[in-house]
Amino acid sequence: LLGLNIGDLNPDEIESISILKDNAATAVYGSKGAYGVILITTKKGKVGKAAFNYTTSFNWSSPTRFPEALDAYTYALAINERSVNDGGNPTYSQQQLDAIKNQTDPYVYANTDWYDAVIKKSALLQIHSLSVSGGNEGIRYFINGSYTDQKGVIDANAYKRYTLISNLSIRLAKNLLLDLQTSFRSGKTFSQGGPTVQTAPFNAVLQASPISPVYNKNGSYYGAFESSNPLANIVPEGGQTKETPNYFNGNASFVYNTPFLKGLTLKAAFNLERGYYYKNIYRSPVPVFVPDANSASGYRQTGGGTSPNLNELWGQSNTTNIDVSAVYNKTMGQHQLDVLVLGTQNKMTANYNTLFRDGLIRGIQSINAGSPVNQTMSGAPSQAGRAAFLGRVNYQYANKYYAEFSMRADGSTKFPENNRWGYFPAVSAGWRISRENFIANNSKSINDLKIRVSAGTTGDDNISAFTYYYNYNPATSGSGGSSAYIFGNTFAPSLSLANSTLPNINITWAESFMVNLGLDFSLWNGKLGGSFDIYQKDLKNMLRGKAQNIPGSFGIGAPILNFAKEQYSGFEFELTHSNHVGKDFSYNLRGTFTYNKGRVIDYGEDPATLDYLKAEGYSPFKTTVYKAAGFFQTQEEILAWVNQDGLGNTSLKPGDVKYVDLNKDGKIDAKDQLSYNNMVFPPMGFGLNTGATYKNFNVDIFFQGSAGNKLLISPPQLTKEYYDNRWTPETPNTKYPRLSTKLNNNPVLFPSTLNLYDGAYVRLRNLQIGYTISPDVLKRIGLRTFKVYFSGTNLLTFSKYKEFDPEVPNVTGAQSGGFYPTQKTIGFGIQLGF
Amino acid sequence: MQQQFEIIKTRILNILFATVVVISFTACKKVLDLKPLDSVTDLTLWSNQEMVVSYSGNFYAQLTSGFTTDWLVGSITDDAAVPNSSSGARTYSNPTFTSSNSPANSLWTNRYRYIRRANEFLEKIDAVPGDASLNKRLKAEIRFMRAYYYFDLVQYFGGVPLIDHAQAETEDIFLPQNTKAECYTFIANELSAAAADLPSAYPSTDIGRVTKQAALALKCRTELYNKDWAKAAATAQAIITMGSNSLLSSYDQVFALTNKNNAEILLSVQHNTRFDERGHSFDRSAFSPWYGGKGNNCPTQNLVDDYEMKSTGLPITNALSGYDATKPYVGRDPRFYSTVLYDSALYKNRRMEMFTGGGDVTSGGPNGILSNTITTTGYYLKKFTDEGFNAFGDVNARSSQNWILLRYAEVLLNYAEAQNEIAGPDASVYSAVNSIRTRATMPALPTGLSQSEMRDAIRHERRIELAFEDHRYWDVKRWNLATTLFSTATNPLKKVTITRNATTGVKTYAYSNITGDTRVFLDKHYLFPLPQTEIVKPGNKMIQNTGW
Repeated sequence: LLGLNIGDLNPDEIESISILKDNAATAVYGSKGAYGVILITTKKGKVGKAAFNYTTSFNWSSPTRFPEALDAYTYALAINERSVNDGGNPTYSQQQLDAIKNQTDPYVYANTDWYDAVIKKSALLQIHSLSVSGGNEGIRYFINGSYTDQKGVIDANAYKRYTLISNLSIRLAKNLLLDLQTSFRSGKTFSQGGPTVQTAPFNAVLQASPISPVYNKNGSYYGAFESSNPLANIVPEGGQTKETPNYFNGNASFVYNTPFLKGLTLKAAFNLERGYYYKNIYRSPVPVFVPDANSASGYRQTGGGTSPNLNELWGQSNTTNIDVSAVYNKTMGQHQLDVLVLGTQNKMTANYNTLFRDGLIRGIQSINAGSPVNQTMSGAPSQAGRAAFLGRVNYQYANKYYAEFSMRADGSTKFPENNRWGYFPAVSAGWRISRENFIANNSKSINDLKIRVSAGTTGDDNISAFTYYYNYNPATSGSGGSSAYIFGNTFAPSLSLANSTLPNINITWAESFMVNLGLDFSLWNGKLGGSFDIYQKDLKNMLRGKAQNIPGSFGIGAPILNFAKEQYSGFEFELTHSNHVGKDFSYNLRGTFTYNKGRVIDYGEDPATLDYLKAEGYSPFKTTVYKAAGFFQTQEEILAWVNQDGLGNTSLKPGDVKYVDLNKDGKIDAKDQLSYNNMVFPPMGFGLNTGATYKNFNVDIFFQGSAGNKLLISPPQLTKEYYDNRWTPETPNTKYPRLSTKLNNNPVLFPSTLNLYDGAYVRLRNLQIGYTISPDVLKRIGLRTFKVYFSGTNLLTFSKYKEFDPEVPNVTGAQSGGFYPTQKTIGFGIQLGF
Repeated sequence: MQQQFEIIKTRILNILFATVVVISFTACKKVLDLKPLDSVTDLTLWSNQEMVVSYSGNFYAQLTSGFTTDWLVGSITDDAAVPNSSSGARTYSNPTFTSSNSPANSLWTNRYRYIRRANEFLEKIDAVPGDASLNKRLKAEIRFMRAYYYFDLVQYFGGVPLIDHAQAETEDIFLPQNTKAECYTFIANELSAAAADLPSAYPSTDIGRVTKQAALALKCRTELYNKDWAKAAATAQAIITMGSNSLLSSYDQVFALTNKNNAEILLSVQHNTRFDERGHSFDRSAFSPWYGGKGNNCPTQNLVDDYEMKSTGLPITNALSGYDATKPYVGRDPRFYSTVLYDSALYKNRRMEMFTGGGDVTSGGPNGILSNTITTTGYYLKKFTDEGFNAFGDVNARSSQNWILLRYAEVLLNYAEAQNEIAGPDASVYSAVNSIRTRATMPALPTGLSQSEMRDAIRHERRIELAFEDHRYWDVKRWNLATTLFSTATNPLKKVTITRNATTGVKTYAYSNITGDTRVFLDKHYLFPLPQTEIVKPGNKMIQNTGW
C-alpha cells in the first residue's frame, strides 16, 4: 500500500518490515521514495486449517519531564520583582503576600499545582487484535480485526481505532492467482483545540498562576483573575474536537504465470481507495467565577459565558492506482536472470466543505441549533496525478557476483508538459568474497563476507503544484479584511494572485544521486557479525529561488529554478554478537552508530552575502543566534556598552543581557548573529540492543541516544529553575537575566548563545521481559502459542539539559518547554494462538 | 476437451492482459494533464471582464483601515495612550526596534507586492475584451491604488524606488531610492491622470469605488506634504469648485454608522458586520472595560486641554475664555463631547464614572475589569464608537464603521494651510477654516491674525477637527515638531485624577504626568528604517535612512 501512514496499520497485519535507503533499492518506488522507503509486507494466509491469533496489550503512559512550577508565595514575590524591574509598582501588597504565604484565604489566594490539577498521572492505551488464517490449494485467507483505545493525559484527549482487513489468495486458473485485499480503517480522535491540542494544555499549565484556585468554595470553576483557568479550558464539557477519518481500500492483484514462456509472470494490480473524513469542532466555554461579596449569589461570572459554536468539516478523497508489470526469471546453471518491466499510475480527486455556526443552544451539538447570523461555509475541489515506468535487469552468478541495472521514468503534474518526465537510472553490484575458494577453503571462521556498491538517481518534485503559471484564487472570505472588498454596501468576492514566486515555465525534476558502499560480515558462526555502510548523497538541480538576487521591490518572490545543490554524507556501523551458553541460555547484542552530515553546496549566493545570511557551507537547517556577553552589572557598564536598544541604552537596566556587536557597526541588529549547524537534527545517533533468552524467558533492552546538536531554549521566567537562577544584584553571576517583560531579554526576539544547550541524551527506549509457555504444555490445554510480556519505554533518561524532555519538537524558534513531552510507558501484553 | 478449454482460457487471459497493459499505459498522459480546480490562470482572467472587475476588489482590500489594528495611530501621538503596556502601539511610541525587526518592514513587502500586481493590471487592462469605458475606469482606479501604495511607502520610508511597470527578472531590478520630492511628484501626476478618467459619482452598486474627487484629494494631500503650496491650494480649490461634496450640518453625523459614505466622505475603507468578511473589532478595542472593551485610544489631558471654550472661541489658558476649573467639562468646543468620554458623560444611557473608585476606572467589579484595560489618562474615546454595540454578546459579532481616508473637511483645511503659506491669511483662508468652525457651532476665528498666528490656528483646527483620523502623527512629523511633541521628556503626557467627596459628591480635579508610558522620538524616527533584509542583499543600491 503506497503512501499509507504507518500509524494506520495494526502491527498484527504486518508480515515483515524492511527499510530501503540506497537509491538503487528505492528505484522501484520513484520520487515518492526519494527519502528512503519503508517496505511493509502484510500477512497472507497459509495452507492449513484455521489458525487463530489473539494479541492484546495494556500500556500506561505518563509524561517524562516537565518544568517545575513555583509555589504561590514565591510566584507572588517573582511577579512583584518583575513588576518593579519593569518600572511599575509591586502587584501584591504585603497583606496579600501574607495571605498567600499563610494560606489564610485559600479560595482567593490559593497555592495550586496546576500540573497536578490538569495533567493526569497516567493514561491507558489498550490494543486488542484477533486474526484467523488458513486455506487450501484453491484459496487462502488472512483476516484480522483490531481495536485500539488510547486515553490522553488530559480527559478531553482520546484516540480510538478500528480496523478490519481481509487478504484472500484465490487460484482462479492453473496459472492465474488473484490476491484480493480489502481493508477498512476507522479512527476517532478526541482532542481540545485542533492541531495544537497536545501542546495547549501543557503550555497553559506552564503559564497559569499558582495563586489562582482551581475551584470556588461552591464547586464552580474559579475564573483566574487576569488569566484563564487551564482546567476549565480543557474539560470535555467545554467542547471537543472529534476527527473521524475512514478509509476503505480494495486491492485486486492478478498474477499470471504465462504458459507460453516459462518464467514470465504478468501482474496487474488495481487499487481503489475511498477516504471519508469528518471533523467536528464544538466549543462551549465553561463558565468561570470569582467570589464577589457584592453579588447576591456571592459569585460573579468572569468568563465562559459565551454561547457554544460548532464547526463541521467533511472531506472525501478518491484514489485509483493501476500497476501493470511483467517479470521474467531465468536460471541457467549458475546464471540467474531477473527482468522487470513496470508501469504505474495514480490519480486522486478530493473535495471538502466546512460549516460554521455560533450561538448554539447550549446542550445541542447540531448546526441546526445555531444562529445563522455569523454562519460561514467554505469548500474546494482538488486533484493530483502521477505516472511512472520502470525497467530493471538483475543478474547473479553462483551467489557470488551480483549486478543490477534499472531505469525509471517519472511523470509529475507539478511540471509543465514539456518538462514533465524525468529519467532516473541506477546500478548496483555485489561480491560475496566468502564464496571465493581462497576464503571458503582456508578459513572456517568467516561465514559470510560481502561487499556491496550501488549508485543511482531518483527524482524529487517536492514543490507546490501549478507554480509554473499565474494562478488566481477566489478570495471570498475577507479574513480580517485582507483580500476581498465591499462595493455598494455588498460584500463582493474577489480574486487574489496565488503565486508567491515568479512563474517559471522551465522547471523540471530535481535529482538526488547517491553512492553507497557497504560491507556485511558474519564470523565464528554469528558470534560476531555486522555491517558497515558509507554513503554520499548529492542533491542536484534542486528547486529553489535565489532570494538574495531579488529585491523586495520586485514585488514577487524569486522564480523557482533547477539549480541548487546540497550534499549529505554519513556512515552507519553495526556490530552484532550472539551466543549460546549451554542449551537454555542464549543472548545477543547489537550496537549501532550513525553519523550524518548535510551541507549546502550551492544556493546561488553572491560572495558578498553576509555570514549570518549565508547558507552555503552550512547545514540546510542552520540557526543564527546573537552572541551574549553575560549580563550588565552596573549602570556605568550599560552606558559604556554599544547602543543595543537603538535609544542609547536608556531602556536597559543591570541584569539585562549584554549582546556583542560582532560587526562593530556601533549597534546591535540581525547582522550581529552567529551561525550554528546541527540545531535541528542531531548528527550522531547510537543504539544498543541487548536480548537474552533463558529457557522460556526472554529479555530485550534497548538504549538509544543522540548527540552533537544544540537546543535553543527559552526558559519560562516564572518557573523554579529560572527563579532560582535569575540575576539579582545579590546574585550577579548566574544563568538567567533579571525578571522582566522587556524585549531586550526576550529569547524569541533575541535568541542568543545564552539560550544554547547541549542536546545530547541517552535513554532506555525500550525494555521487555517475556515468558513463553512451552508448546508441550500448551498442547494439553488446546493452545498453540502463549506468550506474556511486560514492557516499558523511556523508563530512564540521561541528558545534559534537565529541565524538560531533551526530545523537543522540531519547530523553529526557542523552546519554552510548554509542549507535549515524550511519554514514559509501562505495560504488559499477551499473545495467544489457538 | 478439458485441455482445449484450458488453451482457450489461456488465450483469453493473454488478450485480456495485453488490453489492460495497453489501456493503462495510454491513460498515463491523461492522468498528468491536470489543472487546479479552484483557481483560474491569468489567460482566463485577462480575457474575462467580469473577473477583472472582481479582481479590482483585491486592490481596494489593501487600503489601510485604522480599525483593523486594535489601537489607532492617534495613540502614538500626544493625543492618546493605550493602557496595556504590551500593546503594539508601544513598539512605535517607545521604539527600541532595529532595521531587522521594525514594525514597518512588512509594509515594504506588502506595498511593493501590490504595486507589482497593479503594474501588471495596468499593462493588461487595455486588451481585456468588453466595455472599453469600463476598462478605462478600472485602469484609473488601479492607478489611484498604485499611487496610494506609494504614498504610504513614502510616509514611512521617505524616498523609495519608483517602479512603474511589472519588471522582468532580466532588468536592472536593484534600484536606488528616488528622492522624496520625485516620489511626491510621481504620485501627484499619477493621481491627476487617474482623476481625469474617474467619474465623480457611481451607481449605488459601486459606492465605495474611487471618485475623481478622491483622486484629487489624495493629490492635494501629496502636494501639501511636499510643501508645494500653490499646487495644493489649486487642487483643493478644484475639489471645492466641483461642488460634489460638502460639509454635513452636524459633526456627529459625519461618523454616524447610519450615515456611511455621506456627502462629506471622499473615500472610506468599507466594512460590514461579518467577522469572516470585513467586520472589525474597533468597539471591542476602544470601549471602556465597563462595556467589555480594552480601553484603548484614551485621549490625553493634553488633547482635552486643546478644546476651546464654545462661547468665546478662546483656549482655556486664556483668562477671558470663560473656563471654570471646577467644572472643566462645561462649555467646551462641541467636538469635545463628540470625541472624548469624560467623567459624567452620558454614554449607553449611563454616566461615565472616571473618579477614583468609579466603575470605569476600577479593576474587578461586576464586569471583571482587568487592570491593563483601565484608562491611564482619565478619559476614553467616544469618536467613531458605536453605542449600540454589545461587547459582552456574541464573540463573533463585529463592528462595521467605515474608516474615513479622505473627507471634505480635510480638503478645506489643506486649502487653508496651503493658501496661508502662499498669501497669508486672506479671506479665502478665513472662509475655509470658519466654515468648519461654524459647522461645529464654534465662533469664527478672530480677524486680523498674522500669517504665523493663522498657521497655529489651522494646526489647532486640524488637531481638533481631524482627531483620531490618523492625521496628527503625520502632520506633526511634516511640521518638524515630532522630536518635541512626541517625546515625554519635552512634552509629558498628562492625565486627570478625579476625587469625589463621598458625602457631598463634589469632585475635585488634579492633573499630573502619566508614568509608565515613556515616549521617545529621536531625529532618526522621522523615517522608519529600510528593512534590513533589503539592505543586506548583495545587489542593493539603496541607502539606509539616517540614524538606522
